[in-house]
Amino acid sequence: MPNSIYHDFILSHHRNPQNYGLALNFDIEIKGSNMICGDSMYVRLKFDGDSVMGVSFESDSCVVSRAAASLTSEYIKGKTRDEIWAIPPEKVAELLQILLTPSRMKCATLFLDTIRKAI
Amino acid sequence: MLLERNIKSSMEINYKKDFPIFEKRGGEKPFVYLDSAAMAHSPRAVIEAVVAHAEKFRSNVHRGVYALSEEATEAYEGAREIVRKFLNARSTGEIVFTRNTTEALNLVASSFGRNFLQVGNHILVSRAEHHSNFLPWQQLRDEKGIILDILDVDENGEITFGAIERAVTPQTKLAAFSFVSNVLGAINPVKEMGKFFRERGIIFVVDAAQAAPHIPIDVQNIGCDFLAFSGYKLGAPTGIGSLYGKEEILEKMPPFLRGGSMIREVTVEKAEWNDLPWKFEAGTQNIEGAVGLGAAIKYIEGIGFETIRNSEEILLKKTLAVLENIKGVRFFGPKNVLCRVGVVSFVIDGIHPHDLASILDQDGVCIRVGHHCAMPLHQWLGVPATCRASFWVYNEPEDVARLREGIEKAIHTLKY
Ligand SMILES: Cc1ncc(COP(=O)(O)O)c(C=O)c1O
Repeated sequence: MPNSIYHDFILSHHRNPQNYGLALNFDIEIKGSNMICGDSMYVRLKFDGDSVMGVSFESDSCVVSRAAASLTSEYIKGKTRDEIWAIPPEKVAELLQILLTPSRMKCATLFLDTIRKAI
Repeated sequence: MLLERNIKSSMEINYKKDFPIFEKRGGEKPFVYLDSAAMAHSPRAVIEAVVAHAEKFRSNVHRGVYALSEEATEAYEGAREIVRKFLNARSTGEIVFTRNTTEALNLVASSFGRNFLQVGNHILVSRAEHHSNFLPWQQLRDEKGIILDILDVDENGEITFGAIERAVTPQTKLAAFSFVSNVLGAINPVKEMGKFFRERGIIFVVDAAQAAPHIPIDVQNIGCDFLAFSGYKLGAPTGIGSLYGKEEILEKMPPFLRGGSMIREVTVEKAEWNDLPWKFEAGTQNIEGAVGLGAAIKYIEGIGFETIRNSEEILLKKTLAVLENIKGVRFFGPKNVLCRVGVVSFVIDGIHPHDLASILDQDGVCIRVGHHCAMPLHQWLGVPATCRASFWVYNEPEDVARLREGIEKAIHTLKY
């Protein structure tokens, strides 16, 4: 793994995040925030039965949080509620291809923590 | 000219060597610590005093009649006398040991506020307060039907007298202000505020958590009724702080916590309280913490506040110049270094504070990012979080250079 958090892969997801911009067609909207830094994020989900069919988000947050939301939002598409609950935090670090300290882990899992409030 | 020479000589003394953490945490590059506003490091003198106490004097205080306990009591009460002198209180009865500033302010809100404030009274605080000088008053508002008035700081982050005059009402009974803001670094004119509030019979509570490490405090000169600070921001161990309260007010207040040590006599029907300050020290106290606090104050007094301020001025000037000269960087608080202590909060356009902190951390530079327990102030500043660099006696101009390099690196990495 690269020793800097800010490698090109993460920066590209930060600059061009997937699923960014809140979709108009959605079933639920959830707001999440990171207590440590006051960052906030809105996520909208569209379901097909029990599976996530559409996902979109907007955030006022750091590089780690936004890049993680970009990658995780792609990763959960098509997954059921139970499958999303089963995603371990380490999976997010793996998607980001970095090692994270506990405080930055909270940034990385902001998206996952947010959607879990409502599914 | 004399001032110039003084300043120079104060920077030439290497206080860093008094702090073991800088030796023990070696890295590729020297470790740069810019978060003393959150936690100051302990000088060797403090660490040794705490160890010596544990090795030779450990015993409960005010209890035993054997020599060891008497000696422990002497050490604990000796520390209280050091704090009394440090704040220039009239007697040690006015110095209550607490865990920290938060506990001290909750003590005042609970014991004084609940019993001496009434429905319809007003409390005045500034928007720049740390949550610990805000939430206890907000709680009183909700519990007792008190009105909480919020005073805004001006565009420099300073509190003006015009604003105070406008905010005070005939029903204002208590005003609680920080001596120094932990975000803006601004030094508030507490002496003038003290006079103003005294003339109107308003109880004046001072949160001196950020002032105590940087500027001399004289409670008689300020004329405040209460003043609180935390030891660990002065290099003492955690878990020890102090509340100064005017004796005549403390006498009238009921105890905050009840239990061992704070009584004179207890029967099944009733209890009689101990004398000041012990009425407010229920249960076994943080004895080694108090001893460490005494040692920390002695250490600071050995350096002298003039020297501390002079060195800080150099670092502050350098830091503000660095921040002013990087495009997209904005700092908060007074522009004049004489109006502030070594605490500087800033933001960089398009760079999240967390990302700057991580990039600096990779190069061994510690800064604090977040809302610094002052969310109402950040709402007013219009930013969710800020970056904060703060200094103490071990910082050097080289540390500011490392901060600059880190900011430039962050801008380079994240913006282009
Ligand atoms: C201005 C101010 N007030 C109060 C506090 C609270 O201090 P403590 O956490 O020690 O109770 C702090 C701590 O950062 C502070 O900076």
